[in-house]
Amino acid sequence: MTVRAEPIRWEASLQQAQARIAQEDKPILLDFSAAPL
Amino acid sequence: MDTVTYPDPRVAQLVRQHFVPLKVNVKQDPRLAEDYLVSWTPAVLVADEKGKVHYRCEGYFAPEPFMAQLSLGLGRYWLNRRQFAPARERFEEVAQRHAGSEAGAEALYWLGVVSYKESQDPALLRPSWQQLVQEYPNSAWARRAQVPAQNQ
Repeated sequence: MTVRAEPIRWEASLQQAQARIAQEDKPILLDFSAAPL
Repeated sequence: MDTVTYPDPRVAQLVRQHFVPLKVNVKQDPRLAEDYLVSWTPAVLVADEKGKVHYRCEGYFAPEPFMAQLSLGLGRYWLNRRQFAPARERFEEVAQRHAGSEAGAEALYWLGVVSYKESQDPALLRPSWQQLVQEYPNSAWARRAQVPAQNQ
């Protein structure tokens, strides 16, 4: 089976992610790896 | 994570299919890191629409072990929502695909919990937990599954 290499469509804000969640029955994946603390 | 793990097509597909992904820059948005008690990166959390955290993993993960973490997170999310069929599906997938790893042991532990929660029959904890103790005798998850007889 060929796996498509389509990139992840990251949301840029919690508000945007919550708006998508209202339409999709999925959890949010919060990634805090963008910058080291 | 952004150079190796997320670009992996298997990881990307799993994320696209099962999550609404949000990238948080902790320098630009320190409030969110505070709210979610993130004091170290990388940190990846699985949360619901109310912001409740169902699973978290800290540290770097290569693609294969990260896929196991994502599936465990999904399993815990569905288990907490009492959606036992998708929870079981995720834990079974980890137990099989990641057999021999700590994630495989964790999946067997939670498979027992799903069986119990679904049936309300404590006896149904045993098959998965016995498998866990037999196959992962040195695992921290196996120690958690060895309940003294008086507590059963």
